[in-house]
Amino acid sequence: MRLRNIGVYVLLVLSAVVMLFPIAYAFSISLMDGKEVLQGHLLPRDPSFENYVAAFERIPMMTYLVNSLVVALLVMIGQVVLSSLAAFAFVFIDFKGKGLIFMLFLATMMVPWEATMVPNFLTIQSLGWLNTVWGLSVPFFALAFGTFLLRQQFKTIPYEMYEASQIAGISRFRFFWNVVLPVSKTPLVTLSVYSFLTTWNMYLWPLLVTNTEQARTVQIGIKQMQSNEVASDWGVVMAAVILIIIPTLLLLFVGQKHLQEGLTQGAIK
Amino acid sequence: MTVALPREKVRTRLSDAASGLLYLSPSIILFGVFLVYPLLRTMYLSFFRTDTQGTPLEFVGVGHYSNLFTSAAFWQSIQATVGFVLLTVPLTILIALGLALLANEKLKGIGIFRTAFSATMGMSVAASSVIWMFMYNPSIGIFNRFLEAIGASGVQWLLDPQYALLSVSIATVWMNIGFTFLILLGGLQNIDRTLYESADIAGTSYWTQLRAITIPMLSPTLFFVGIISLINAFQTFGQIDLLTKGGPTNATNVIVYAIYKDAFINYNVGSASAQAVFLFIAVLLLTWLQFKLVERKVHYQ
Amino acid sequence: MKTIQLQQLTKSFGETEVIRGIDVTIEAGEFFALVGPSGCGKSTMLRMIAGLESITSGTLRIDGVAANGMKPSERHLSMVFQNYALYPHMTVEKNITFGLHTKGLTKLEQRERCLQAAETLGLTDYLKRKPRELSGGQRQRVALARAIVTEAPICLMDEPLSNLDAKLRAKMRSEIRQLQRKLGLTMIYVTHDQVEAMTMADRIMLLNEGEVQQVGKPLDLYNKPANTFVASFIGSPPMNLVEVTRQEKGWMAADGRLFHPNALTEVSEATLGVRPEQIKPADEDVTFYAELKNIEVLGTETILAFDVGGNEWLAKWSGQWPLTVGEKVACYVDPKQMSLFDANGHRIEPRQPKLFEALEVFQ
Repeated sequence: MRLRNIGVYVLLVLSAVVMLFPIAYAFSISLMDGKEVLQGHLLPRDPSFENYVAAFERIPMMTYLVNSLVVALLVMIGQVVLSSLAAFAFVFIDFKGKGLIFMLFLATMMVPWEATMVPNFLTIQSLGWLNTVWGLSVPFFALAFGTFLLRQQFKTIPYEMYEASQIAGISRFRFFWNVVLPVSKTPLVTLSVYSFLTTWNMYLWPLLVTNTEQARTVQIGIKQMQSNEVASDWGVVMAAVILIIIPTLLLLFVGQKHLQEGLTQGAIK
Repeated sequence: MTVALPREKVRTRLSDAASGLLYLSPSIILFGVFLVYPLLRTMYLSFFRTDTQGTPLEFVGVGHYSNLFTSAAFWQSIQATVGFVLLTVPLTILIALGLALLANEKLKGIGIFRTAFSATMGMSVAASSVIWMFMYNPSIGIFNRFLEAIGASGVQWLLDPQYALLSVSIATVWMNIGFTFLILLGGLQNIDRTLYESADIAGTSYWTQLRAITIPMLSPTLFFVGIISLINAFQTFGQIDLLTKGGPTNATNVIVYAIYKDAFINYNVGSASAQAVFLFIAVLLLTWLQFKLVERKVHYQ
Repeated sequence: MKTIQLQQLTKSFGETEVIRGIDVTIEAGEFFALVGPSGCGKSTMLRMIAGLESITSGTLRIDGVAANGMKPSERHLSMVFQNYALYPHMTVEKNITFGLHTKGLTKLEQRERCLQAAETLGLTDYLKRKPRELSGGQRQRVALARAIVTEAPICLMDEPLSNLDAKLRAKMRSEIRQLQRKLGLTMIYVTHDQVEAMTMADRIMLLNEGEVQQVGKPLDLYNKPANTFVASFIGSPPMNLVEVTRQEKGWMAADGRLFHPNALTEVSEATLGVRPEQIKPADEDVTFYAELKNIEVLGTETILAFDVGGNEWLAKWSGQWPLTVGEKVACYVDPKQMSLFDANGHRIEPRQPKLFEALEVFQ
């Protein structure tokens, strides 16, 4: 048994090293100056944070970070609000055609988003939303996966609680706001983390609807930087990479347990 | 009195329907504007020649479709897509499953490993691609450094048509492991522990338990992960755009990248729309097929 | 204090009728128990009264006013649910007061009422706790407090005690009964437990498969069950039954035992019923001999099991009887305490004295 555990540990450590290597490598490069990068060292001889300063100076990193943060927060709020409203209706309100509408919601998950991107781009353009946070966020507010996840959770709330509130004369919205949402904190956090991560990391859409420095998100910023600076300065590029993954990695580390439980629940039930 | 009653009932039922729709309306409106309408519009545009702004100019019937099916470039992109799917999906699931099994052991400090294995879920495609681009760099990247160190000659990872798709796939597997791992670990932890306890009492080996308990009980999760991974693989864009731009010689020109190029670089919206419709139908068919094939074998609790 | 009238109340789910034309008036201040086996429609009926379930046809009147279309909150009633339906994230105090704002009460008034209700139910020390920090009995009290704090004149309870252990259940039974009397509530109480209904209710309605079997005072149901279903549902152990046919000398069971119930009837086939506690040890008159199959000595009473016409009968004798299995004992049943049911299971009224007896002689 002891021997087996040692074996498991060895495998765990090896796997972790392989999985984390690219991140650690990027971090290491970000601490090197240009010459050292070209020499191909694994670890910096003389680590310095100058590349990070340069990242902020050479590109509007701060603007990108703020844009990404605003967009990610907007989408997160939008998805949580819309999904919970819809899930509430699916669980607590009885009306004809509910089953059909729910099936249609689920069916939206089958539509590859890329199949709709051309008209969506034209819509955003005609709304005058190119290069705005609205263009970057509003198309993603409705989320079938989020609705589904929360519906699973709301279904576990005893229906008698809703009936008790009806008898007490509590309005539907108040029940939603004061009872359903507070008792569903865990899945709401899960959904929030999921929304934030996926939005922060979004690539194709921001590439389409932003073309000014002021409007770009970090992901597009890094693309720009990489294509402009590749030959000269990998250290600065890697510094920028580390900067943009820190928020999501932190969020992931904090929300990992929630995310794992929530996503699994959405997957199985 | 009794006559007045049905009207009362109708009133409450109507208000239920109305408030139900009220709660659903934000979602329904946005789905309508940003999903249903563009999907229909895409289908519509696929039958037209358009200007650069996507305004339909001339009805061409199935012209775009027939052009596609006779174009070598289109078949090349299908080939790249299928190759990419086959290279990434099974490998991602297999590795993620292995990691999940390891990380499901009850050992001290296991939380650290779980975090490490799920880390790539927090990594954006852009950031990851930039890192991999550096690692694939022919002169200073770690891979060629390693090859040179053992005396082999370096490889043009992203520039050699023979290696490009494989290289992008390896990077993609790494990027997708985090999410897949997280879900599979959740699935493993949902398996009733008493099943293992009774198997332990019966004295069965780890591998027997894996085959007889873990895999069957995990099958709904594996099924879910399989569908999600497949759909995601068909929608891959970021790493292609950053690492190869569809090249070399279209070796990595997967379908979404081809759509993007046609629509936003060549301004051939009609053709792009036809390919988008093709993508939509392919994903739909594959999902349906997977349901048909796998569902019967999946063990639901 | 309000009356509740049900007039031809019917409920269907699609094609299936689960409540069939129920007529009853529940008086103001009455403790009315709805009893029946699970699936008999008693909860559905309660939920129709509460407004949680729509009424398919018929009229529900609360205080004389047709209430079919009223929202639950417009019916001025409170309800206690089987699982209590407490809000898990709110303190006991918040649980009790949540919803009082709709009655137009100020914060101060809400708090006063809450304290009063908490005092009544002995919850004063627990107001700051969350439901999960309470025992089952305390949660039950919170549910009760939430019902009385609204001062609604009608209170509906749906199996409120079924999640409690036996000891606590007995205690809460009397507490609920006292509370109802003290506040003068019109109470409709759903239970599957006939003991609860018998001990608590002013009147009982026994339902089976959506139909009323009998409505009446507990002792009426016990002494004069309207049919074999009531007879076998009420009482513990239930009434013993056996098929009998009319013979010249009396009514004969399949095993040849003869009974002489006081009933006037034309029928020749019937079911005879005797309560276990009405089968007594015989002193002089012997109704039948019983060969004991089982004996349970319970301290204050002894339960005897034996066979009558292919059915297992039970007799309940008070005291402790040193009997053995296989022994034959002589039993006596007062003919006046035998019930007779016709082929449809309906009760045949006992023979009326004098006049009717005289008539039979002439036949």
